[in-house]
Amino acid sequence: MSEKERNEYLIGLKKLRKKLVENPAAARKFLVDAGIYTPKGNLR
Amino acid sequence: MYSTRPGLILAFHGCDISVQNKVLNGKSELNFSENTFDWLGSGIYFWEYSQERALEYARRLSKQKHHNNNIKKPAVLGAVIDLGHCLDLIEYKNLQLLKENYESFREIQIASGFDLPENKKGGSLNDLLLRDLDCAIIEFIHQSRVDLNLKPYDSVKGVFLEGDEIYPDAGFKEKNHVQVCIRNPNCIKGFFLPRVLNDRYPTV
Repeated sequence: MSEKERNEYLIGLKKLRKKLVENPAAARKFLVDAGIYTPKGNLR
Repeated sequence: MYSTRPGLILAFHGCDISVQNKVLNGKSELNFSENTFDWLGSGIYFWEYSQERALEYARRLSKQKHHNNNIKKPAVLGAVIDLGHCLDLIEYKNLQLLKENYESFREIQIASGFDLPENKKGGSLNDLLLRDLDCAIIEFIHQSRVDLNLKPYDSVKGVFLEGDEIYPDAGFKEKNHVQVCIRNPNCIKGFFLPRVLNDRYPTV
């Protein structure tokens, strides 16, 4: 990852974090989509 | 700039001899490991350049009686691997990236109301064998790249300091190793049966 790509990723990550922190339902969906949790909030 | 690895590596997977045979004969593929505690997230796991460690691992598992432990006769499968776009957690900048992702994950996890996964010691050993938190952070990185439409990582690589000191006050431990976790099976260019050294000739 170049410095430019890395910076783009970190900017994108910051926006994503802000969006998800403001919307708990979207945060839960993201974490479930990532395969980390089940919809009930248990580890998958 | 340097996250795509040039060249190929050799790596080894400990398994039952039936799995070794099926994969070598093209009758089966290795499946992803998808445990919550996998050290480098979900994927196909290999020991980099360590046939002996792969065999030791398979032998140890063959002695454990678990309902889903299917190793009866330990064996090792060799693989030729192109790591491709690799999240190499030996690299300084990627360790910083991991830290930044932990901070993002933590905020999102709190917002979600879900519990924070934990890394835990396994059995009587002092090593953190069950790494739910590390696994979650790595899966979080993969998912964030999906959401941001960025090129996914083909593989993840890490170095692990494991086991007892090899002598009193040693900085080295008995089971130090490098693991690779393949996310993109096309990284695996081929499998091979590791050979026994012909001791009539020098080691190359």
